[in-house]
Amino acid sequence: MGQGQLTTDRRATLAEALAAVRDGHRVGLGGMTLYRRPVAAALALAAAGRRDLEIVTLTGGLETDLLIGAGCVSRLRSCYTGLEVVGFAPHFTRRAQQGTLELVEETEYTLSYAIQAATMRVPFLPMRGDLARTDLLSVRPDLKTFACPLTGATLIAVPALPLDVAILHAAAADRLGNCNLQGQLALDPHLATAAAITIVTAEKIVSTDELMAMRGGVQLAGLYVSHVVDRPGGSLPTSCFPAHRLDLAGVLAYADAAADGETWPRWLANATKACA
Amino acid sequence: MSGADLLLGNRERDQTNQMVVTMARLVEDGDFLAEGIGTFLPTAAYMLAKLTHAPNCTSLCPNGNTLMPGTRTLTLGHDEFETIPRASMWLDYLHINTSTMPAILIGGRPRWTEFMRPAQIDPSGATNNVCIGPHARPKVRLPGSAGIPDASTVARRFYYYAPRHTRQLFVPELDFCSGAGHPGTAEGNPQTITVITNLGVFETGPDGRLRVTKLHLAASRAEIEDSSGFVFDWVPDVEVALPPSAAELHLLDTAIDPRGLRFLEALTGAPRRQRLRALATEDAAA
Repeated sequence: MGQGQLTTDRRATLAEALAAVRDGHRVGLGGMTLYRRPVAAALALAAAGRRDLEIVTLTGGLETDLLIGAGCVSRLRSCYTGLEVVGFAPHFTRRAQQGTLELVEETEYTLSYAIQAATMRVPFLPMRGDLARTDLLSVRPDLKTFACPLTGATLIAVPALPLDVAILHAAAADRLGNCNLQGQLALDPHLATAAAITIVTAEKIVSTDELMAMRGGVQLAGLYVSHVVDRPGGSLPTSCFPAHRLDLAGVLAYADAAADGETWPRWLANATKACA
Repeated sequence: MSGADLLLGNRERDQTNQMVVTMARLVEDGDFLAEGIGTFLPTAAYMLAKLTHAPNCTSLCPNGNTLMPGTRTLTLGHDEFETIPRASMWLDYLHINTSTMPAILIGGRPRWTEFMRPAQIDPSGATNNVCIGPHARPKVRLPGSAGIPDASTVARRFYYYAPRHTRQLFVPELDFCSGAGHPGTAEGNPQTITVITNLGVFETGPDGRLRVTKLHLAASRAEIEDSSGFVFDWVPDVEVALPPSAAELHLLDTAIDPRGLRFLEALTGAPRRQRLRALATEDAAA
């Protein structure tokens, strides 16, 4: 990478940044369930009418469920999708039960290995064969078993999962795209290295010196970031440590709206308008 | 706190406290305690163990991805604000899944303790957190199995908990297996599966089937049989678990969980939503 790119100003508006997301893209979402989720970016994708996305997230929460509810998602890869203490994620649950959402059943390990394999640019990473004692392999024909060339033991090949786009929300970033993540790190630093394009919304844009003085310092290098968007409150109602706590009342209001066919379009219209 | 404030009967309240102390007593000093998110019963049990007989345990807090010594007061979704500033180490999920957990689960050191909450359990202790009905068109889609398939297939010892012991929970056959059961032989994992419910403690025997090993409070044989979808074997002379002491209850009600968040796990449907709303309103006012 040339020196020019190390000093590139990567600031953009949310609309400019999200223009990189096309229908049919495989999109990785940062954060975990109700913590530091890129909610504003998800609402903007919904407003833009993106379709046929494959969402990849270790655990899906409100941001994933709202994308499903807005009709943007055709396939979801996660090992858990829900609203934690608030309960089931309404759109995810309904669409799964209708059989109209393709679910790729992941575990914590399979998704971690798949992202790491993509980062390493190898076709797969080997996983111990023990998973065959569950029903996971029966719904994951892409997880193939093979004999270890060294020991003969049965192993599972977890295919690499390169992402078209990764979208994260950061506690702070500088204009070069260096990020301080804080809170739940989830798989975020690794989504960026597995993705062709990485879009970051940030609570605030600060100087590099200020960023380095924050707890954790630079947790994602701007080298891997394509666009950085100044977006205070971009994770709400999910948390962004240390700026925002989880807004539980907001999540409860979402769960009620998402579970009701009449209220849902209104919630979505209001939320997308508020973040436009 | 009275059961009425918690939208629970007094018996359910007492059963919930009993489950916490039963779980706390399974913790050994020096354990690596893996927390869930929103799993208030095991987290309360870990804090109780740390404050009593097991002060040298380290917690893995998924809310914040941290290793944390010491104890804290339970919060409703704000654990990051408690754990991150006091963490001894900060991890991400790739570290956890490719380093921390394999070293502990397969390497066997330090001793690992975690309590998972399943939607279905079969007689061998195998579990389901994926779906009720066929996977392609489920009657009920559940949130998912998270790390249970990874951990249950390599750990020697596995713990589950279930605040509501029902026929829907203990089923003769799973709709989907996402947690490995006892292998039925002395080879393979897990060699011991223990399930703690509001009614008692159930543990796999040498034949690999779950047996009743302890009763909670005044649970009777008839109540357990009526609430289970298969017939348990019973160990001879099943004991009643030691009830919570006044000191344990005091720690739970003051230092660990003064807001009674642990009782949320015993609620379902509208009462649970009502209690969550009340707690969210308190949070917003704070």
